Amino acid sequence: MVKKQNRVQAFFRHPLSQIILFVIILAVIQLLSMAGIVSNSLVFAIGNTLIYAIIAIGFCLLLGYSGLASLGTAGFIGLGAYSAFYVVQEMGMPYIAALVVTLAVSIGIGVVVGFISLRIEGIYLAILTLGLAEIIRNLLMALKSTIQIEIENVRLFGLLMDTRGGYFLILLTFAVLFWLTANLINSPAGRAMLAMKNSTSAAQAMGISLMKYRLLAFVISTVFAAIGGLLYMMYVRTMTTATSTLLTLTTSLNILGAVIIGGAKSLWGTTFGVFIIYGIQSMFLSRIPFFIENPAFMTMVTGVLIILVVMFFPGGFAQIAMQAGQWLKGKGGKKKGGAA
Amino acid sequence: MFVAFVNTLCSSLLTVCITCLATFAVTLIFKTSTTTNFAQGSIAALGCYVTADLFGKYGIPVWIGVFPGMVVGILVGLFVDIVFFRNGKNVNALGKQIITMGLVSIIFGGIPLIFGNPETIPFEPFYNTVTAGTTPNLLIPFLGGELVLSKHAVICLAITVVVLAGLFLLLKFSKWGLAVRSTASNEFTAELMGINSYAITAASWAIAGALGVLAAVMYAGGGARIGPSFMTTIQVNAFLAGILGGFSTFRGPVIGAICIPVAANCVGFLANFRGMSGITRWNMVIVYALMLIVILIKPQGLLGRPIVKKV
Amino acid sequence: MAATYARVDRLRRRVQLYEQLAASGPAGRYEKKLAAAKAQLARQQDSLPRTGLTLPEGVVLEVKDLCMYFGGIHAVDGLSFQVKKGEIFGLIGPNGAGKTTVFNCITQFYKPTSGSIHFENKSGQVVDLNREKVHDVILQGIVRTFQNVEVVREVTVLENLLIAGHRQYTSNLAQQALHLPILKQEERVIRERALQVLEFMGLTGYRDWYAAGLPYGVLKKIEIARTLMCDPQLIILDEPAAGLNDTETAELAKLIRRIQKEYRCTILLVEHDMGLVMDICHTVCAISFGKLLSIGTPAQVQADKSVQSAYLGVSEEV
Repeated sequence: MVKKQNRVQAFFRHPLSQIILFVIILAVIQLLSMAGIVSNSLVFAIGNTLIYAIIAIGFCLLLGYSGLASLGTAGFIGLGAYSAFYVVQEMGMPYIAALVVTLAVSIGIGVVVGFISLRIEGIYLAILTLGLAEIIRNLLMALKSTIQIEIENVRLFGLLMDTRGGYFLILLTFAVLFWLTANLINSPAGRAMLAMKNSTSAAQAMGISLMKYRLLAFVISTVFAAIGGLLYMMYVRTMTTATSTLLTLTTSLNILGAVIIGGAKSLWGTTFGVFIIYGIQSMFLSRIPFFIENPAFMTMVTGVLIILVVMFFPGGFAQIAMQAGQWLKGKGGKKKGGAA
Repeated sequence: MFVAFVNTLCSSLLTVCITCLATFAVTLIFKTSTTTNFAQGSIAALGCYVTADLFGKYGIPVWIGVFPGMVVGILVGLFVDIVFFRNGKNVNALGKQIITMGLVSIIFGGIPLIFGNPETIPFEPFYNTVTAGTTPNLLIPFLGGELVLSKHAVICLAITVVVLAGLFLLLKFSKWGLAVRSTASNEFTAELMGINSYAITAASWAIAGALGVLAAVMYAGGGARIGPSFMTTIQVNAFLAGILGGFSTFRGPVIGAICIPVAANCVGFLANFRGMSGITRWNMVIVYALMLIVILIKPQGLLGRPIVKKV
Repeated sequence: MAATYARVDRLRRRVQLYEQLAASGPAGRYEKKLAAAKAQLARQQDSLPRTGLTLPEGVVLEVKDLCMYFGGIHAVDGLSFQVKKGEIFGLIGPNGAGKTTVFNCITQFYKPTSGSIHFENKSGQVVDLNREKVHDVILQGIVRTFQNVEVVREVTVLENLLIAGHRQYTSNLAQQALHLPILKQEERVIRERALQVLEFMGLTGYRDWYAAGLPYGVLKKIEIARTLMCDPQLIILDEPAAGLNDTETAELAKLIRRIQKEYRCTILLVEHDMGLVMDICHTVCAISFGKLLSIGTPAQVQADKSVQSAYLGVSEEV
């Protein structure tokens, strides 16, 4: 009996089974919406939130594991979004070509920022990446001075990537990237990043190349952000540029906030943080009549939630979950006679 | 041509003043609370809304209305420090940043709730030339040409110079200044030496809030459209100015704050030359890129001192 | 040059891994891979560039005319000494004498202004350390600890040791991201070794504790344990006894002797605790203001007048 329980626990602890479970649940929600049980807008909101979750996971590796703060996320998202627009809409090339362009550009930018991070650290680096994001944003806006960019529905391998197909693509991308990141975290590379975060000198003495892992961390986070932008254009299909909140500091801060709220080092925590910052508004609050009448309150609720979590749970949701787990365990233990 | 160039420099006067004030506020908080205050712009916008509301609804002129606005800035600043930072369980620098970010969301949501959602908000400079029946610009003969200076910018320059000079003198010579500098250098030791670092950080937040609102009112008076995020660009520039000049001193960031708008206008000036007219679109790209290069060459900032870590 | 050393080191690890797997796993499964890896290693080793450097018999590290200037400050000024294979070598001197700077130069945290540092590495070749990158020094068999304990606080004690074994993993990033079997096998082997080291250091009880919050003495032990993770040829200890009480220091002395005996390595240490230095060191080198004062057996150095005056100041009554 005990053995069986352990096996069940081990199954749920394994990242791969967790992610498969997550995908199944979200896929079922989409199927339910096709059957007309769940509203389409809810499913659309989930897909949108997942895009931000992809971006946040990359950022989690950068901030939580490598200890490098960046405020350039918005700019990197812009890279992906604009290359989707240019390649697919302006040049009429397939979506996969946009992916190639995005990867090439974002890897290049990631390497550049990685090299910068070898010279400049801490908050200086964060502000510098903010400057870089401003460069990218101004550059993109100078290249295409329209108020809005829009693309048609994309086709990938003959499949139509509308809000349905796109949803599944986003879900699949999320699952794959999540799994790769989780693996990387639990390997020497992840530990090397943590070593680098805690003490650069110890890391170097242990044979860890700062250059290699800083570049890696920045490349991964930049690529994830750019892929997020790419998926955003595919899924939402339109983006306002002039006053776009997607490309401004707010987005970078929101992603940073999601990672911190999630507990900085936990991928599921980060996903949950994204849900708090983006999901709660679009999935739930926007359904409650009071908030529909006063949309301003939605932003305020998010703000208050963020502040409360940071003030009282510096370890984020990972800490809350752990404390709750211990509390439950303590209760269960007492029932059985107070062992452990 | 030279006169035109000097005129270009003059036209950046107002932005220089605003950026200087905002940068000083950011630096003050960076040094005493070791965090970057992302809500700087939002707090300033909130204060500016108060001034605008007093002006639009009750007809109180801006030069009086700016004071209640600044009081709001001070109160919000104090609130952040006293309520959020002090009650949080060992909130680190990153956590503080996220708190200021949460504050941005609250203010963004709060502004339309309190002030409604008008398309444009009526506003005027400190000294309204239109109602006073005078021209908005001063014309000064200069080397056979004419220098055009907006009166608003000149007034703002005077205010900025007085405020910043006062603050620098305070920092340099007063007991408070010494306390700020020692808190900035090591909060823990400062506390041990009997400095009430709580009071110091609270005062810094208050001053920063007031400076932000002052800058926002100047900006709005210069013709900027008021909105919840209308100070964001200024705030971003203030951060960048901070690292351009180096956060290790107070002078550095202010010098950085002068450099950025001036550089932007100088790049814009190049549009006057033949074949360069397209450059205005790339204005900020070029300025930020230049700045990036400067920082890469001098990571500790223009006036900063390098910090060597011992192993 | 460093890159090829890294490659040879990697191959050597891989051969070791397959040897262990072949010994423990089902027969015939790894033999082919082992043979291929061995052949590759032999090829690479032959193509290693010969440095043409030599050291006197029995010497493992030679520092010659080492200078390290920071602007106008001469932290190390023309220092030369030799460390014999298998000895415990103590570097002493008053505060600010430049001891840690010497260590930082050897481990390439600082690039020396001038002078040479030659070292006989694991494969018996003499290399010029100044040409190595700071993170490649460990491949030659040099590991160090730090004055102000630099343990990775966010991970467990065991994981700290796994981090120290970082260079022993041969799997690349793609293999790591996909968690391929090769990584798991390596992980098993290195974890096994880490457990052995923990046992040796008497840290087994702390295995799954997070390093943050552990007592100072334990953190110091973790640092030393880390150095043992990569078959060191030369261990550099920067003030290992600082902050320890008398019993802990006595324990440390025993531990250092045990390490030197069981791991058959050379130990180089900086220490202020003269009792410890005189007790365990075979050779002591005293420096002051970056210059050599005296070198020899502990008794010789203790008797040296210049050392006494550097520590105590010159007495005017004599």
